[in-house]
Amino acid sequence: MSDASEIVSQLRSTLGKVEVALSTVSDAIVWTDERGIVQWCNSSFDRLLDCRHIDVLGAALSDLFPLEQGGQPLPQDAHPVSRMRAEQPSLAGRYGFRRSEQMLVLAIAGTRVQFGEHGAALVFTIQDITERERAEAALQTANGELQRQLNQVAWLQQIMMDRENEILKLTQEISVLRQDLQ
Amino acid sequence: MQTIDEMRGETGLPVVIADQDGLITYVNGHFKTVFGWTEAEVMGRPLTILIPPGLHDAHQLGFSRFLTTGKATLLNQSLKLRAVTKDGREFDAEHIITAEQSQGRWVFGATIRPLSSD
Repeated sequence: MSDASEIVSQLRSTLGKVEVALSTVSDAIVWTDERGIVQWCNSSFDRLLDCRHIDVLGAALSDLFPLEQGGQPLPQDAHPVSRMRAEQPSLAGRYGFRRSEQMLVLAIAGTRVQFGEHGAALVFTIQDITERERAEAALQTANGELQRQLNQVAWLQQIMMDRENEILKLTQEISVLRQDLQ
Repeated sequence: MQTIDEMRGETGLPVVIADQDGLITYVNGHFKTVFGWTEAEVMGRPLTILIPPGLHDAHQLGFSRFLTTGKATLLNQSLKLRAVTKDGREFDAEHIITAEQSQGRWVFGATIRPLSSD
């Protein structure tokens, strides 16, 4: 094997390992060219879209990945791809993504990576925070309920103290009356 | 599913065969008609000359992963992919790709059926 062939073989091995390693990452990763055409994505992104890998490659990310914000479809010019294409160096935001009947909440971060004379790529990492959001909402509800219960307990304690003071006062009055009677 | 030897005998569809380095080792007559390359021009050239530039990274990563793990995700099934001719024209084509080991090295073969003339 020639030196060049050996180097190609080593680089293939490195690339193969990188591909496998990135496929084990639970966050979805996708990179596009400057026009927003998908160049590569990891298997978490395929699963997020519920698409075959081969059907994702070469597709326009904004068509493939329609997003929502505030319960409304995101206009094309507000899509992370459009914002990054407009020379924005990076972005981060929370978006809704409808997959079948399920609405997912996604934290999306994007970065523009410049490759010198080889142009630029837009790299997006996408975290499914649906369960975390649900848990946070449930925690907030539970905290509100706890606070309400604590307020109720404090109110009852105040009433008890007021009653105890009244009883004490009455006891003292009875005691005075008894002394008067004697 | 055709073996690579059977692909060598295929006359109705463009066929390309490449070695483990991703370099072209065989094309049939139909390939030359569809892609515009002569046999002499493509022999020893990388497969990426047939793939749109936007898919080169995915090709190299997927090809490398297969060589590293031996696990195939795209082989022996019908795949609708873009291909590119010598003059840079891109077209949709149904690819069926297969891989076989010969003397400890992988050999890849593909039939490429054009789906449109645009």
